[in-house]
Amino acid sequence: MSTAPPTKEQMIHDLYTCASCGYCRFACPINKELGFESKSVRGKLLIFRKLLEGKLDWSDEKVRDAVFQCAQCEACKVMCPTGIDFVAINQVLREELARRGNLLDMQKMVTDIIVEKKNPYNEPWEDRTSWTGGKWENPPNAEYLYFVSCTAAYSVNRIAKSVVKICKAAGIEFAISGKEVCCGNPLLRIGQREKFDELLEGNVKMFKELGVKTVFTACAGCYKTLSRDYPKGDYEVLHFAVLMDRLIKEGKLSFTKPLPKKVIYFDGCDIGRHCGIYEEPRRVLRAIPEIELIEFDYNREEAMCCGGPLVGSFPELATDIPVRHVNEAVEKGADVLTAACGACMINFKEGSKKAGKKLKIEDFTMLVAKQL
Amino acid sequence: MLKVGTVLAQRHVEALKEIVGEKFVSTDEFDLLCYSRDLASSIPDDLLKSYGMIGAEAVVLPSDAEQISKILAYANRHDIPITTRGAGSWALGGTLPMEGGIVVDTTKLDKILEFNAQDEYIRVEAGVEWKRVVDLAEKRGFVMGANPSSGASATIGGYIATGGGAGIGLAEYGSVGNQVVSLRVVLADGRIIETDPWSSHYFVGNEGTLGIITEAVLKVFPFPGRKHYMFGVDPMAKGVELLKKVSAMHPYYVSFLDRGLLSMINEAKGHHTRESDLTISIAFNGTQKMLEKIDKQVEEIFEGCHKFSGEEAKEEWKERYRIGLAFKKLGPSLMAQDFRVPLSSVKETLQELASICKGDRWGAESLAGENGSVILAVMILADERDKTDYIRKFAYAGDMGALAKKMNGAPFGLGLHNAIHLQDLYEPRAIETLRKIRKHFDPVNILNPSKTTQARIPQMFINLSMMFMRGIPEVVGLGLKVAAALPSELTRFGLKIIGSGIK
Repeated sequence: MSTAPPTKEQMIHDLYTCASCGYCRFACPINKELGFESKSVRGKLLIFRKLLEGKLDWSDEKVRDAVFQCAQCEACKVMCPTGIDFVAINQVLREELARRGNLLDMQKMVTDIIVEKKNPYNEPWEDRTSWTGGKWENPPNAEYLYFVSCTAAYSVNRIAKSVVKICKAAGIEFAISGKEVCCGNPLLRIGQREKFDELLEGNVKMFKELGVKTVFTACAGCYKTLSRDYPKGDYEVLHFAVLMDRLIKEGKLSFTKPLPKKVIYFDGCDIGRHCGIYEEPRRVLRAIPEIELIEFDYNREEAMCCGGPLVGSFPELATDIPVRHVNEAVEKGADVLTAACGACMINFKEGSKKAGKKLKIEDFTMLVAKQL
Repeated sequence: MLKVGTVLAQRHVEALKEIVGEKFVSTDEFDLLCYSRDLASSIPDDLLKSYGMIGAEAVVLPSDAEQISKILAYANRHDIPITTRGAGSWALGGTLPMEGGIVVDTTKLDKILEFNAQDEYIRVEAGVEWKRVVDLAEKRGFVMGANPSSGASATIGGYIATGGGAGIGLAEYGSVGNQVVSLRVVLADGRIIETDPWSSHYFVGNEGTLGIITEAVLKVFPFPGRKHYMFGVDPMAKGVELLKKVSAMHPYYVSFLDRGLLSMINEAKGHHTRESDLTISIAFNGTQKMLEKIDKQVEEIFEGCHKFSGEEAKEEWKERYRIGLAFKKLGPSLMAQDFRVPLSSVKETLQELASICKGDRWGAESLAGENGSVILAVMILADERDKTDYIRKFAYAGDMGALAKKMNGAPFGLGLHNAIHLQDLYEPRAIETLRKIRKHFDPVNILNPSKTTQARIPQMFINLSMMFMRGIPEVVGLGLKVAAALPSELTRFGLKIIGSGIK
């Protein structure tokens, strides 16, 4: 379970702790894009101080934007010399704004859709397993549950099909469940804690009913939410990249098709900075014959967020951010940019259009499945 | 000049939008708040007002020297004050917009333009953070000379404009001025000039009063390898002796934490790093052969002291940008003062500091300064919400200024907070010359007015306020009501907050 949210007193202490050194600006995608100090974490800490001391109004649209124009990527936490957890404070303020109804129209719409359809794509919940063509049968007493995710279930089915292909090659049997609902990550980001809890309960009940030992998912957002924001269960939660890495080590999975390309791996925040998974996906990629793996200047803990989490609230800003990543990848001679995160992939595709650069953007799981 | 309480006329704002584009001009109240602060953020609002600060009236984010040239030409024609800002990570209030007007935020000048390994230089725009330049150089097999210990935010332009006289690399390469090959500078009337090594020196340490640096060409140096050390030394007198010996070897990095500071860091971070009177961190650059030779000398110097493992020393190096603030949450505010003292006075200075700060939780760290000097950063835990305690600690800054002077040292930089020490730093004729140079470059006086050579509060009032502050501990005894009224009282006495920034 995630750590308890900070109290108002703790938050005010943190707001006064800010030294205004500005290190938080170094890898903040919002500040890098918008430039002004009011869009930096140190600026926001000053604004939040005024808010919590009653000098600003909770119903102010500018207060709302100051809170929500944040990708919650936690790059500032890595840089902060005084140890301020800005995202923890930001999350408490999001929940307060949601309680007071000061949300963007888009956020209200997404909330309604997820509550009704249990996915953010506005697709019927019943269609969650339709990507299987209705031919799927769960193996008896499966140890593994594949948590498909909304993106793979409704939007990019090829991710789910790639998971099936890889698991088949490695001899891994797993179950899927039509009772799966959105993990709740988008609701949590909007500050809808109670509505998030309802989805959480549905999924946890389903895990218990199936009695699985391991839940894995190829979605970074789901992985982070299941492992960090759900209560600890008697099952292990794995990102598919970690499972693949284990299978390669055990000799159960190998790649035969060479990929003589320069591939740049991007550390999505949900899997990287938030969960510390940096080496496993790189080891999986290195297991592909003839691949040349290259790196962004700032990677792993220091990677700069692509802005993906803002797609549902500030889409224009969100898609401006990855332009600099795409430019760097092209300058470094990359043929393919890959990340083990659906939100990153969607955003990079938009970013490469804006940058006007030809760069292949490919989901990690899909890229790997092709090399079997 | 614009009057107190006025806002920048809409026609000026429109003119700025015409120059940089609508997206890059802000008169938003949140921005005006943020740009009326810098690293010295823990100065309470009412005390800031006691400076008579108007604060930012508009902020612009230009993206090149040409735009800055147009902004300055316009401001010069219309007599609008200009405050240039990098990351705002200097502790002396240098970027506080005293006279209102326009804050020029240079952080959008963020390109590394050229890395020339053949001729060993880097050409970089002023708004680039030092960390980026240091990391890039080291990846290419080079090191930067002087670079700031706040390099994760401090900009190229900001460090040069504030003198670049403390930090990493100084003990080996000297201050940043020695590494400037040329600068691109926009003058007050909008002219853009390229300096040569000689004329560059006008702008190194100009604190935003002579022009806006937009680009720098800096020397880089071959980087064959590095070795890190960390030693715990007791007693303090011995630590200072060994510090002197090792500094004479011109290491790339040499810094110490005193016992007080390390114990605060340990407490704040839940660490158990072994505490000594002085914990000295050192890094040498050199070839394998050179490092082997250095290793023998270092081992001899520190024989019998506690030696931390290479891993621990490397870890401290990785934390070099962060270590000095790692304990701030214990405050949560800090009263701090940076000053330069000769190496030979470090022991005595630390001893006198102990009696100044008696009864309070404090600590000191050092960095290498110019010509074998040491920059001491003294930090005292405080809580700005407790105004009586906070004002009491202001008095320390005055004591420390006097102490620095007594030890043949000086305050570090002028900015706003230290401008009253102008007379301590320069003799009268030199000050007159500085004023003439300023007048020459900026006859209309638009560039960072009321800073450095334009300290607006007469010395007599400062002395008065210092005397008044010394009396505060007794006054505090009268109760909170009296203390709460103090800031405005002090304003009447012309209070000057000295060195109240944080490192």
